Amino acid sequence: MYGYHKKMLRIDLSNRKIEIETLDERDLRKYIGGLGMGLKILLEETGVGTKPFDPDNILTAVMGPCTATGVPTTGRHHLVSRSPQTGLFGGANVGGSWAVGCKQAGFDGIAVKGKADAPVYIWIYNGKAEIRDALPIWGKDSYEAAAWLKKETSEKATAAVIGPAGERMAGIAGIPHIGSIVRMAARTGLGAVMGSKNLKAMVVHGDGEVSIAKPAELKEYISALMPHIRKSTEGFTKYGTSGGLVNYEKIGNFPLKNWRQGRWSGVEKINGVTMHDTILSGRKACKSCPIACGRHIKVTEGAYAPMDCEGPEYETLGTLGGLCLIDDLPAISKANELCNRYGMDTISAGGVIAFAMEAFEKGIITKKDTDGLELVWGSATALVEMVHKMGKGEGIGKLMTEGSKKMAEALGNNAIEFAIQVKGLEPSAHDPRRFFSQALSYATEARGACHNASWSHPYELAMTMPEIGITEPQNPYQIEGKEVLTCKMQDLMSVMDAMILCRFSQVGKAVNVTNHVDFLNMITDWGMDIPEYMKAGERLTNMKRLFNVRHGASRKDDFLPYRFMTLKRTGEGLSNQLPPMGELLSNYYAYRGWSEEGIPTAEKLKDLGLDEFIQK
Amino acid sequence: MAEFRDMLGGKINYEIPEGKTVQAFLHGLAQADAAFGKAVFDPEDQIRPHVNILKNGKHIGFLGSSEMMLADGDVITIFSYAAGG
Repeated sequence: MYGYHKKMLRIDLSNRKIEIETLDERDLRKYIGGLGMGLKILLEETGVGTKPFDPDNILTAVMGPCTATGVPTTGRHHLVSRSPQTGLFGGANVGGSWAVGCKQAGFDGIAVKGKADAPVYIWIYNGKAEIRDALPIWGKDSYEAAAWLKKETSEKATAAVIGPAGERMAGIAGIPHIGSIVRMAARTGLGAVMGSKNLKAMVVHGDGEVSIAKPAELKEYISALMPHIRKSTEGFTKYGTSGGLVNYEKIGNFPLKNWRQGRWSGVEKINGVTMHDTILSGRKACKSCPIACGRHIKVTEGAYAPMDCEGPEYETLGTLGGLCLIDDLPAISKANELCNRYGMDTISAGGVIAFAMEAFEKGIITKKDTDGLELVWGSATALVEMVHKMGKGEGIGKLMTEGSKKMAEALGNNAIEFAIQVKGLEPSAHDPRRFFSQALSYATEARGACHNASWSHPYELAMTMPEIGITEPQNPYQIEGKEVLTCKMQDLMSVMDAMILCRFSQVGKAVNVTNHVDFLNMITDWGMDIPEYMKAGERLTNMKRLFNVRHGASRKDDFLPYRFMTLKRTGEGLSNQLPPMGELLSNYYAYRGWSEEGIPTAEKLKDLGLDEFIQK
Repeated sequence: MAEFRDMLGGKINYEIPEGKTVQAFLHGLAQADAAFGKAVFDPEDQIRPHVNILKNGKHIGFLGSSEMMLADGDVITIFSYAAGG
């Protein structure tokens, strides 16, 4: 079979059993890979009673058919589990060098369940896997642990390795991936799932190849496309993901002061162009990526020197920066590096710190709670110190790493009013009052407030995707048709998370859906068309939803925080529109073929070939 | 960057009168090339929200009115962004 090894590594840590499952080609065509194969396993092999930290909860990390074939932006994989942060579907997509290493080691993915009786790591290489002792690195930060793991395995290895936050099962713990570049599978607390299994790391390296149906044709196709991709993404390469941050603040998309403030001059100091002109020392790319949006920075003077490490990207600048009104780029960079070391999601970390700053302002928490720290807006010292406390689980930092929802519930005093989250997940740095597809996507995405679930706001700004019927950029405040744009983009993102293709392959229309299907067919020889490809995406969006429905979620969980629905921001040039969620949601469910309560109907599931998941 | 360069590259010979502002410069280019004008300005003649304009590496949103005046040797960078992290 082309594009896949048809091999899923199955590991049960409770009895230290390693097996290789042979995958069925029909399943691979139906679910594609990545998110799809992870969801299939999660839905079929966990039940209503499977709690996030139960040994029976499964963590999958699966690549796609394009991974390690040379197709641009496919050096990624998708992780899936039941989320400790939300209690619902958990997922994270991550680049770097792990995916290519694992695929070249001979596997399409790995599924881990059980709980080891002592800290372990998994070493995967050239068709084999071992479970090894990780006691010497238990308690170490991710960078230190990765250095040790490379010495124990191979200098060419890449480690998906949790930090102290994951070890103590903190709700916002992510999984740092450290190889040729540092990348984080940040969202929904999957690092805590690893911690609950006593699994410190999954380390990979491989020298193998992936068989391709039409290798010469694919090579020629990629060569012809590459100049267009490089040109289309030139701004991303030069200035990183935050080059357009200034405009995002100007139009009201950038988050400020826990989503309360309209405009802020501080963006002048923390945007990608400023980074380029001050602390940028190099650019970094995931495997198979010509864009190189990753930043490397060097800080040689000031309070946070020396720093010679990965630099912050847009979402991190928005959450650790704008949400907390921190305009100190080295301080944000330091907090970013610390989040990587402790193994914490920068988006949720910034969201919960902004929440705590507002609680401090309102007197709900005081210096007694913060061990004397003045947790005030704009304090770079408070930001960095609080990240340390969160990473170490010290004092109030421990509660903060459970996320703003759980922290608000613990604080009482109506703190939930300003805990900005959906389903327990803090939003990324895009304001849903500015783009109504973003509002709908934050509300309906299975993992919570996630901009990557639809990545639709660019299509309310400038972009089009004619192959799936998006022929003109849509008015961001338009209600009619918003459900169509949102659903199409959610389904496209779902199938891209199965393929696997990076969101940024869409920047400047670098890669379109026709290219996606061409890649897939040249690799697999399946002859898939765009309707079948998009239907696979719709299937996966419904499967995510089904997992949440299984755990009690419905329309009642598809909310936006009150602030997004009631607080109009003021400031030059800002719109005062607020998303009408009732109407948007009803239109969305009707278009999806779901009930008014947001439950997929039996007819819809049959149409998608998901009969086995119809509730009796 | 590239998209705007492709629109204009090597085909516009446009003399900027002394003392012109960045906006006037952009309007001049827009008049000379309709596709460029449509890409940069919306129907209300405002710079589109995804289009970033830098003067000597600094976003024009942070320039005072005197700094918007063009002088010999100034470099204007135009790039579009429709993304984030």
